[in-house]
Amino acid sequence: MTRVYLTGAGPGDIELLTLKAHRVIKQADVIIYDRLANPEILEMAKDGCEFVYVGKEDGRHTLPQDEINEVIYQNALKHKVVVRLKGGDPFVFGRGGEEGAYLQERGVSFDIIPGITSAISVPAYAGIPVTHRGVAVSFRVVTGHESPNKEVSQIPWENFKTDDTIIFLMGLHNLSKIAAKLIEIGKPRDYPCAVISKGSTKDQSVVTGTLDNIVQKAKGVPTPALIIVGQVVKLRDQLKWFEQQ
Amino acid sequence: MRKIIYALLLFISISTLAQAKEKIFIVERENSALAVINNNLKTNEIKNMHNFNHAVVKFRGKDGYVITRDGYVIKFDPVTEKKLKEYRTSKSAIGFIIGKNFLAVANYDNKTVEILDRNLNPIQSIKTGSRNVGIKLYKNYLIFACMDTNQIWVMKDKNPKAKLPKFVLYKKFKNIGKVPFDALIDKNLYVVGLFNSPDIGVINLDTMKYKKVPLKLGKKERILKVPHFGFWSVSKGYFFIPAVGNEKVFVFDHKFNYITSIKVEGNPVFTALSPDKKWLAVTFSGKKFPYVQIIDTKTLKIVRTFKFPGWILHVRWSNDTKHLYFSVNTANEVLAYNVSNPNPMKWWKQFMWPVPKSSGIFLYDSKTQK
Repeated sequence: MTRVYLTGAGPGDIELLTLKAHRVIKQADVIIYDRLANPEILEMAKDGCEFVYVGKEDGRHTLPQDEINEVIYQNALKHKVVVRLKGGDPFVFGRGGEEGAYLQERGVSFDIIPGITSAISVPAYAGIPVTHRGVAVSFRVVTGHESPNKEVSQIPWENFKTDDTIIFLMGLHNLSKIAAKLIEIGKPRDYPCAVISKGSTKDQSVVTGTLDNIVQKAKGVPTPALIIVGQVVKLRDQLKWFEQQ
Repeated sequence: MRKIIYALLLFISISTLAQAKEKIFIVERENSALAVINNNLKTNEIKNMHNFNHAVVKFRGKDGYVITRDGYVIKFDPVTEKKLKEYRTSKSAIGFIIGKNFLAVANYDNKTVEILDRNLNPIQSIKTGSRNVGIKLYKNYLIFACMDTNQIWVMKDKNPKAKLPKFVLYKKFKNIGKVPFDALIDKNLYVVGLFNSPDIGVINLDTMKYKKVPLKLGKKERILKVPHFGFWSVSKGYFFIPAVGNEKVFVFDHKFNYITSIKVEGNPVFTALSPDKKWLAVTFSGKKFPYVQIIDTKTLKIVRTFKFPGWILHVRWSNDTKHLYFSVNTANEVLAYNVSNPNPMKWWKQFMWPVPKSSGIFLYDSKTQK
C-alpha cells in the first residue's frame, strides 16, 4: 500500500528535522524535494532511493505547482514510500494543502508531517523572539510574495496597524513595497525591522534597521530571506546567540 | 541528555551515500541559458547566451567559457555563476581551445582563426582562407585543420614567456586528404579525420611528420562516414569510435590496428569513457535516441542497456565515477544514476532535475580544476 508523506524539513539546520520525518526519509523509495529543504537531508536516505528535484524560484524555468502535483502522484503509482520534502512546514505557505487534495482526489493516502516553520525558528536563530512579555503578545505571518497571477492582493494591510510582530516569508524581492506599505498604514518610520538570510544555516546573516532604512541596509542580501517587523527586533542585541557560536 | 542522544542518532544515521558533488552546468538549448545544479539543487540559470545549439563549455582555472553556434565566445564565472563578457569572433564557430593566457577560436564563417586574451580582447587574427576545424594545443604549438583547402597548419608561439602569445606559421601540411573534418590529440599525435574516407591523417608533433593511416575495419566493415572525433573515446589501450551508419562501435589500438567491433542498439553518435576507464557509455540517433548502452572496456561486451522516456542528447560521467549524468532532452530533465556499484545492473536512478530542453552537460570542480 503506497503512502505519501508530505513532510516538513524545517528551516535549514538539519537537527531541526523531526524524528518522524527522519524515520520516513530513511524508509523512502523516492524523495521529491524542493529548493528550501536542506539537501544534506538526502544523505539519510537508503541506497536505491530516488531523488526528484522540484524546486521553484523566481525568474527561472522550473516546474509549476500543477506539474509538481502530478510528479508526486506519478511517483505514488510507482513506489511504496513517497516523501514529499519541503522546507519549513508543508502547510505554512508550502502548498501542502494543494498537494494533499490532489492525492486525495485520486485515492492516494497521505500523511502530513509538520516541520518547524521558518516563521518562528529563523527569528529565534537570529535572537528575535516573536512574542515577549511586555513587548509583543501576538504575531502575524504573511506571504511576502503573492502570486503574480492574482488580480487583487489578498493581503489586508489595514489590519496590520495594531499588530505587534509581523513576519513576511519569501518577501525579499518586495522589501521596498512592504516597508512602504507599513509606513503608509501608520507604522512609524523608525519601527524596528530585520532581514534574516539563510536562517539557521552556517550562512545565516542578519541585517537590522528600521522601516525607513532597511531597504538600503539589506541591499545584496541573498535569498531565501525572512523579514520581521516589530519591537521584538530590538531584543536581538541581548539575545543573539547563533552567529556567536 | 536525551537531546544529545537524538543528535547522535541523527548523525550516525547519515549514510555515506555518494552524492553528486560537482557543480553541473547544462545547456538549455531553446532558452539560450546555462542551468546550474549545485549541491543537488538547481540553483541558477545564466541567461542571454545567444544561439545555444551545439554550445560547448570549457573551464580553465577559475574561468568558464562558452562558444555558441552563432560565433560568440562568452566568459563566465563558474563560482558566482555570472556572465562576464562576450565577444563575437564570426557568424559561425564551433571549436575553441583555452591556453594559459589566450583562447584560440576556429571560425567557420570568416575563414580565420582568432586569438583572444583570457578576457576576450582580440590579439591576433590568422587568415586561413578556409573553414577551420580540429583546433588543438601541444606544447607551444597551435594546430588546426583547414576544411576547404585540405591543409593542416601548425602555428608556434614565438613569445611563450611573454604576457600574450604571438603565433607564427611553423609548418603547413598540404594535400593531407579530402575534407579534414575533426581532430584529436593522442599524446604527441594530432589525428585528423577525413570526411567519408577510409583513411585518417596523423601528425607526429615531435617529428612534425605527417602520414595517412588506413583504418582497416576488418573484411566486411564499411568505412567511417563522419569522423567526428569529439564523439570518440580514448582509453589507455584503445580508441572507441562510434561508427555512424554501422550500428557498431569500432575498437582500434593506439597504432590504429583494428581490434574488434561491438554491435550496439542502433546508430551510435557519442561515446563517453568513465574517468576510471572501466566503462564506455554510447548514445544513439534516430529511433534509438532514448537508448544508452554501457560497454565494459575490459571484456568489450555490452553490460547494460538503458531506455529513457525521451531523447538522450548527452551523457557525462562524474569526475569520481560515482554518477553518470544523462541529458533527456525531450523529457526536459537531467538524470544522475548512481554508478558506484561494480555491477552495472545495480546502478540506479538517484537524481532527477527538471531542465527544459537539456543538452550538453559540463562539470566544474573548483578543487580539481587546473
